[in-house]
Amino acid sequence: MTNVLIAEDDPHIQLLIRKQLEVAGYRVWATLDGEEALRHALEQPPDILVLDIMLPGKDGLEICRQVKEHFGAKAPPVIIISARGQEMDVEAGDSVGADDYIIKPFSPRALLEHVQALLDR
Amino acid sequence: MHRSKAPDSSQMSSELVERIFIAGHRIAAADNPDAVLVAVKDAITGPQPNSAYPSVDHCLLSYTPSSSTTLFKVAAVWDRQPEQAPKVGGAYTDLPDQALEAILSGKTLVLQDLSDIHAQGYTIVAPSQFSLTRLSSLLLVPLIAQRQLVGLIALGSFRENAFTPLEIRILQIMADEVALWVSNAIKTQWARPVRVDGKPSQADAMTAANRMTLLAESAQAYLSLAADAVLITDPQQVILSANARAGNLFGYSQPELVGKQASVLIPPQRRSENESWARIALQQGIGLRGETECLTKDGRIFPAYVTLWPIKEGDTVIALVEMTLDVSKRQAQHTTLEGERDLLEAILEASNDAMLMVDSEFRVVSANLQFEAFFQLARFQILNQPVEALLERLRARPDLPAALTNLLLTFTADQQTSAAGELELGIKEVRFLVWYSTPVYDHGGQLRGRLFAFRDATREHEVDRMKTEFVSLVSHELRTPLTSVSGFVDFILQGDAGPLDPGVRAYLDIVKFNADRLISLINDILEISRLEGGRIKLKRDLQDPGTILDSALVAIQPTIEERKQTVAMHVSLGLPEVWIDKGRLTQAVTNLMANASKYTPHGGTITLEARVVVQRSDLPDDTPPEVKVPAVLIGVHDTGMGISEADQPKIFSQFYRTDEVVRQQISGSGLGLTIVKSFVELHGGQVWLSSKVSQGSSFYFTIPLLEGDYD
Repeated sequence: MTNVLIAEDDPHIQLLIRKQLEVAGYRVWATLDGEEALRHALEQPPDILVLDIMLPGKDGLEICRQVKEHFGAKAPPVIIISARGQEMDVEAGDSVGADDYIIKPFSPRALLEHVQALLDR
Repeated sequence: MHRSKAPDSSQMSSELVERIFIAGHRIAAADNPDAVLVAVKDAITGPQPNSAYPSVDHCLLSYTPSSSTTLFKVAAVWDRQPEQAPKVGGAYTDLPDQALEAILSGKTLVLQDLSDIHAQGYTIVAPSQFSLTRLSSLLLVPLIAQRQLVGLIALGSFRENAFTPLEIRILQIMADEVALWVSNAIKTQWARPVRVDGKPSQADAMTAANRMTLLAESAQAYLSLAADAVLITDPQQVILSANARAGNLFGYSQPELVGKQASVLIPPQRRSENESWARIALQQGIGLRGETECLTKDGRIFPAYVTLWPIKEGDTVIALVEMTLDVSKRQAQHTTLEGERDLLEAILEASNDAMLMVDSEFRVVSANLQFEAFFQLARFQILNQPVEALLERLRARPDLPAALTNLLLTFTADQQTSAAGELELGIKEVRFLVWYSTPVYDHGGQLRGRLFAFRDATREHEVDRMKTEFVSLVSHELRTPLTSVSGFVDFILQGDAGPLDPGVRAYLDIVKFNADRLISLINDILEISRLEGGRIKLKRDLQDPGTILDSALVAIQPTIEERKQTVAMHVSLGLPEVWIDKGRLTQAVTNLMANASKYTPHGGTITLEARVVVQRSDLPDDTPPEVKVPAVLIGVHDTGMGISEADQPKIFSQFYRTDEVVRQQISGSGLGLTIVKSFVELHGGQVWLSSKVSQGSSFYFTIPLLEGDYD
């Protein structure tokens, strides 16, 4: 069973992602809080993380940076969800080692495809 | 007698010129060349010993070079003790042959130090107080008229280096005039009636009055071309003669003026002043000049500049020359100019913009109050100083940015470019200045310098930042709920939420369609706001232009499929790689394709072309003339309703939608083409369209190529 960690503070979007991934057969652990997401990621590393940028506690970029730093070469892939999609965000994502981005609003299918592509790599 | 140099030789020189000319008026009709020379000598040396031309101790004039090359017939000799000077001098000069040859060929001879010549055994002497004394410098100016040497002005001094270049030059100019007078006198002398019956000739019998008339008439002829109004009056200021200009100026005919009191030409309130001038001229024999007012025949009063000059015979003033210059125009001009300058200065001072003007010699010539305020620089420290001095002050100031110094450095000497930009000012409290700089040319096209203007744009900057934040925030806040709306609709439509009733699906399609519209509207608004703020930085790399067409096709594919349209590709093989932001240009092509699809009927064809255009003839027929080649041309052709000529110029404006589009309820934000235009122009390219109503539209844009980018 593939484990996906979702950190998204908008409950409806979180539900949308969760539903789409569960339909596709993934096991999802989701939170609205950045601190909690990081703690969980370090304690029970998932196979992939889907992180919103703006989160209470710790933002998605910071979580990504710490996870990548902690696990080094064995770190799980990270998808950053951005509401802005400006170059600035993409560059920020690159600098913390994010593997992919998806820009709001997104189709849930597209997100699923991104997740599958990263896991197949 | 050795005298020190006069303090103001130019003043002296101008007086000399005037004296010689007055002498010229006086002797213009003279028939005796000797008399001409004496008059000119008097003019040069001055009427009295104490008003003498100080460089000159001796003035010798001759009109006939002697057959003996070493001897001049001296027409007049003058020294500082006139009572001791012979009325007609003897032979005093003894010059080397080559010097005389020079004079005979018309060259001015300036001998500022005669000691060498004396050492060679020549004697060049002049009478001093009790004996003949060697001269130390000698100036010989030949008088040439009609290519004939008719005389010589010889000035001697007991001092070395007695003659200044200015004096020499003036004497040379005067010499032409004097030569003419001498030449005329020689001719008159020849033409003088010969005594045939032992009685005096008519000329000899001339009364003083007749002589005066002759003098006046001659002077009048002489002065007819003068720019000043010239009156010659007798000592009682009765006008004897007036030139043409005087007639015009005072509104009388020339004959009318003759016989009138000169005082009628002066308004009553200025008459006593004028009379006192005349009295001084008459009694003291000196010339005067000053500003006064004059009165015309029809009662008009105008400001004038008047010169009053006595003409003397011996010690007696026999006539006055009155030269009048109308200065009303000059005054009016002066007043207007001053007024305008004051106004301009006041406007500059009141301006909210800081202004600095640097002249073409790179000196700071103007800086207004606001310039002081913006940069905290005292004007008195920088005005009329070289720009370099200002730059040094700027460099020493940590609160002023290097950009300001660089700006002045870059553009001060630039005579062509107008430029504009922004500056950040201050350390704690940051202010944004918008600047522009432009070369300044006057009406005559003459470069006057360069203007630098600075405007405080802190507030605008702040407002702009707030707007950007607001748009970004709103767009973010809208995207989040829209993500849920469109995401769940997708989720349901995909069937992931369970089986779907076809009726419900149809409604959900509508929700989906409108959610997508909202999303693209938000994206467009955000893009436009970034474009407006100039915050779009292209991420360029070398790309085959074909890749942007491919990416756009992928993006537009669902729409094309849905409308069962066909895309015809006319793409040249081997397009050169171009330095572009692939994402932005892909979006440009996608926008054009989306429009093409929207306006092409179901099942219709959209054509996409891409090729290199090297010459103008490679471009489509109705391409605007400003489109530049070489470039990669990208064209998108639809077979839709077309765009009317009235709408074509506005089609790229923000939110512009044609009436036809609105009437047919075709969806769209009116931002798509604005974005296309902006992206293309960011790449240095151009965008245009060609369309005929009901025949479809073609949109084109170019990506510029450099020479060598293509084969």
